[in-house]
Amino acid sequence: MLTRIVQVLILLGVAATQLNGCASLQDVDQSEINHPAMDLHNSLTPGRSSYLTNLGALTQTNKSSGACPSCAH
Amino acid sequence: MRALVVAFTVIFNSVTSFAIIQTMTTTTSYQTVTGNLDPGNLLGNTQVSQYQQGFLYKIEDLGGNYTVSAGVTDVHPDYSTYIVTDKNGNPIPLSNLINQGDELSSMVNLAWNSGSHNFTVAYSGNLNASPFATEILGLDYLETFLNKTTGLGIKVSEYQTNQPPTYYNDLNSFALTLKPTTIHGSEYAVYWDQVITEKWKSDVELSTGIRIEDRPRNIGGTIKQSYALTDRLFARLAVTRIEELTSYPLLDDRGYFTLNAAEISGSIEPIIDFLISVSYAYVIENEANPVTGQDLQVGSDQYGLAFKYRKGKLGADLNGSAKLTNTNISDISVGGGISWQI
Repeated sequence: MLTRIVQVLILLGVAATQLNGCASLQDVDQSEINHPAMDLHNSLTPGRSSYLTNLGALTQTNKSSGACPSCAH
Repeated sequence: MRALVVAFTVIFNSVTSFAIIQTMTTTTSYQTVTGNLDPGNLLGNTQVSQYQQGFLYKIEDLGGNYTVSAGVTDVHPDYSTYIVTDKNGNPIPLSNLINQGDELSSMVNLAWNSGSHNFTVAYSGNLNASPFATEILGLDYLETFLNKTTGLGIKVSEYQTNQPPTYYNDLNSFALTLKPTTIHGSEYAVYWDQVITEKWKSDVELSTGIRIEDRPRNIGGTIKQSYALTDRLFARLAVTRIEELTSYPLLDDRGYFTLNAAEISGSIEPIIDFLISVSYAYVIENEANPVTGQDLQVGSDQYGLAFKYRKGKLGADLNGSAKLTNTNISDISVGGGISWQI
């Protein structure tokens, strides 16, 4: 009997955890946060350029790290 | 029972196999840069143009978890104003040294997403001869937590790039010295994505990179914020600083570099699936050379505009930018693309 009670309590604990997760998910309306205009890893406008140092060129454009006509490397 | 399992497996595999989304995208862009392109020649006033076309093929939901994309880019470069120094110390246009032609490059990208695990591997490289032939291998792993409201990621990029032979005056040996023509580099970054409220998300990234043969190690940080002012109006802010470490020795005639940048942008969706974005960035670059005592600074105003529209299986985008520096460089680019799902 005690074993059965413990099993029921464990199941109730798991269910409560899941319900809490679902409740948290419902609390956050993700329609705005997942909008393409909110994506911080993809810029909608053309990427930034550098004209003296070429610093950050790899992460900005993910292209060549050396072909910078104005950087005079 | 066995037949049931086999039937279920066949149906499941068939469904997942045919549930893929295939997208083809073509892009084209044109860029023209006018002004004083060489910081060592402040009297220079030249113009260089570049035309580029691209084609990308992407398969999403492959096997339920994979996205594969592959693309080819054709660049028509103009090296007539890219100045190199020959072994006698004379400046000559790079176009005098090479048979300038179209440059083809390719990229392949494989992404795997399973619940909270997101892994991407990307490769890009030149397919034919180029004075700046480059190969880049990039890895990106993102782990999300708490209903994807928190994400921790790591990015690794390893690359090899060529540059045309050019000589510089070595102030230690007082001799014209050849700069390295092959550069090996790497860049590592860790980042933290955080949803702060239903309308506000943030990203913090710390990075370090090095070009082994010619540049000291650099460290950098970027903070980005995006905010939904309404369900149709969005604002973004990004601040970046990258600096080279003076504890590393200088390897040629260039000084230590620093870059500071701030960018604000806004997007509006006047009708559903039609997005208009504008941006403004202010970038300040410095080069401090302890050998010559020279301290150069180039600042630039960078404006961007983009339109993005999607209807059913078709998508189109158009973008442009205008960038102006205090050294009278003007950099204008326009581009666009069409994508369609098969």
